[in-house]
Amino acid sequence: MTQGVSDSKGGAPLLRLSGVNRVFDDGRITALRDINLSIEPGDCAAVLGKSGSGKSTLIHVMGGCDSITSGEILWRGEAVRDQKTWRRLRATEIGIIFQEFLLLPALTAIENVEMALLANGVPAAKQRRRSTELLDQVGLAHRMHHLPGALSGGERQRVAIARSIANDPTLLLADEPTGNLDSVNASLIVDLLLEIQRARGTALVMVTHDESLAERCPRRIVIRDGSIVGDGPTPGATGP
Amino acid sequence: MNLFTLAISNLRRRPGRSLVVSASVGLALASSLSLVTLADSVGRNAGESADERGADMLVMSRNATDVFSSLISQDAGARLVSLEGIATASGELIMFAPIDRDRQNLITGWPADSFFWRDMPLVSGRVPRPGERAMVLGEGTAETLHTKVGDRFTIFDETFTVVGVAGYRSAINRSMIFVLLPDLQEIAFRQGQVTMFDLQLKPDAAPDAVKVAVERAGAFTAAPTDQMLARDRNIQVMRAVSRSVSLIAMVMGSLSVLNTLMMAVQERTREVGVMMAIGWSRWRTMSSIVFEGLLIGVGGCLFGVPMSFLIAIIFEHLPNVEGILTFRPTLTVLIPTLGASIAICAIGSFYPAWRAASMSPADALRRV
Repeated sequence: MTQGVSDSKGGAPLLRLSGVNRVFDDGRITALRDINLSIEPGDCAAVLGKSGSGKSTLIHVMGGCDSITSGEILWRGEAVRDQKTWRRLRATEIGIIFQEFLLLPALTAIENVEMALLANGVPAAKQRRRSTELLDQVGLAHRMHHLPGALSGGERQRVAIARSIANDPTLLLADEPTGNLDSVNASLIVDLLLEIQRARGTALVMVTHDESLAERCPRRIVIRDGSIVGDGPTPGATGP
Repeated sequence: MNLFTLAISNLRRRPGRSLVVSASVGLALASSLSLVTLADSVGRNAGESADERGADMLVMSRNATDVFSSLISQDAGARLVSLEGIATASGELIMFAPIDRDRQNLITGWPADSFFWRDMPLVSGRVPRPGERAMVLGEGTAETLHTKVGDRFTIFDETFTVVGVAGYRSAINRSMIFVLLPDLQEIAFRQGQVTMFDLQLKPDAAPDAVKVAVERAGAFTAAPTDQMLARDRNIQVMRAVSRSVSLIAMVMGSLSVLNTLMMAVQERTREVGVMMAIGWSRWRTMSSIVFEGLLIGVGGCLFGVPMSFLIAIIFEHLPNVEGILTFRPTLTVLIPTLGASIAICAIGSFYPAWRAASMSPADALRRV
C-alpha cells in the first residue's frame, strides 16, 4: 500500500479522472474540460489529438505534475488531493516520460537513472546495480557513463525510459515520447515501451499525434479542445 | 548516489559556472573580511603599541575619558614605585603636536632613564642624550617624511635633531616621534606633568593586587595595557565607527552572496521540476540544492580568505595607510565571518530552492 492512498478497492481502476477541468489564466484558457477517464491495470492506451488539444496537460494531470481546477482524481479508488501523496505515487507507482527527455545535464546516463531510485532512498550500491540492469535492458550498457549531451535523441529517450521504470511503476505515462525523434528511432522507442508494458504488465498511456504509432496500442483516446471525444479500441491495432 | 555525491557531480560537471559562482561568493567574502579586519585592527593596534614597548600596566588619571585628557603629577612616580610588586614606573607624556610640513604627529616624551629607551629596537642611530634637543622617529614616520639620522625637525617651532630611527612593529609605534620627557614638557608647557605611568611589574607580582594598590594610592586608574585602552573614549569611538563600517560591509557582502546564489539556483528551476516529476520529496529536493550551496560557500571561502590576505597586504602598502594601521586577519575575525558566509550560502540557496520546490512540477518545467 502506498501511504496517502489505500489499496485498490474491489474492482476500482488504477487511475480514474472524474469531471476533471483545468483552466489557465484565470479561466481564459480551458485546457481540460470535464474529463472522465479510467485506466485499468495493464491498459495500453494512446492519447491522440492535435497540437494544443490538451494532451500534455492530461498527462501532467494524470501524474499529479499539474493541479486540477475542479473534479477528482482517484488512485485505486482513493482520491488524491495533496502534492505529498502525488510525489509518493510518482516515486513508487507512476513513471513519467517527457518529449524533451528532461535528463539532468550534469549527470551521466546511469546517474540520471539513479536519481529515480534515490527518490525512494535506495542505498547507493543497490542503485548502481539496478541502474546498470535497466540501462542494459534498454540497450545502453555501453553508454551509461556518458553525459546526456554526448547521447543521441534516441539514446536520451532510452535513458529517460530506464529512469521512468526504475521503481517498477504500475502506470507509465509518456508525453509524446517520440516527438523529438526521427521515424526509425520513434519506432524503436515505441517497441521498447510496448515491450515494457507487455513484460511487466505496466499500464501505459502514451500521447502521440502519430496515427501509425497510436495504432500499435489497443486503446485510443481522442482529445479535442480539452474534451475527450473518443475512447475505445483501436481499429486494427497491431500490438501489444 | 547520495545528496553529497550528487552535489559534487553537479558542481564538477559545470566547472565554469561553479568557478564563477564560488569566485563571486569569494569576492564578497574577501571584501567583507578585509573591512572587518580593518575595524578589528583599529583597537588592536593601540594595545599592541604599549605591549611592544614592554609595559605591563598603565596608570592614568581616574577621571580621564581618554589618554589625551589624562594628567598626573610626575612626582607620583616615586609613590608608585614604592608600592608592592612594581619594579619600575616610567612617566610618559603623549600628545599630537605640530611638526614640519604642516603635519600633526603623535609625540611621546620619556624620561632619560626610562626602560623604554633601554629596550628601544633601533634600526639606525642612537637614543637622545640628556640635555640635547633630539628625537627618535618611528620607522614609518621616517619613511613617510623621507627623513634620516642627522636631519633637523621642529616640534612646536622648536628644532630637534633626528638621532635615531626605531624599528617597532606595531603601526602606532611606527608612526610615533619619541623625545625626552623634559623637552616635551617644556615646549608643550606641561612642566611636571605626565599623561600616564607605564609600569613594569616584578616577576612574582599579582597584577590584580598591584591594580588595587595603585588605585588606593591616589586618583589613579590602573589596568593591563589592552584593558586600559579598551576604556579609552577615542578608541571606543573609533571602534564604534569601524564596527559600523564592518557591519555595512557584512550586509553588503551577504546581499551579494544571496543574489549570486539565488540567481544560480533560480536558473535551475526546471531541474527542480524534473526532480519532483520523478518523485523526489520537497525536502530531498531542497536538501540537494542547499547542499550544493554549502559546497559553493566552502569554495568561496577557499577563494575569499587568501584574497582577503592579498587585499590586506596591498592595503598596508597604500601611501595614506602605511604606518597607521596593520591588517592582520585573526581567528576571531575569520571564524565568525567564514561561518556567516557558509550560513548565508545555505540561506541563499534555500530560499529559491524552497520557491521552486513549492511549484507544481509542471510549473517548474515550464520555466526556461
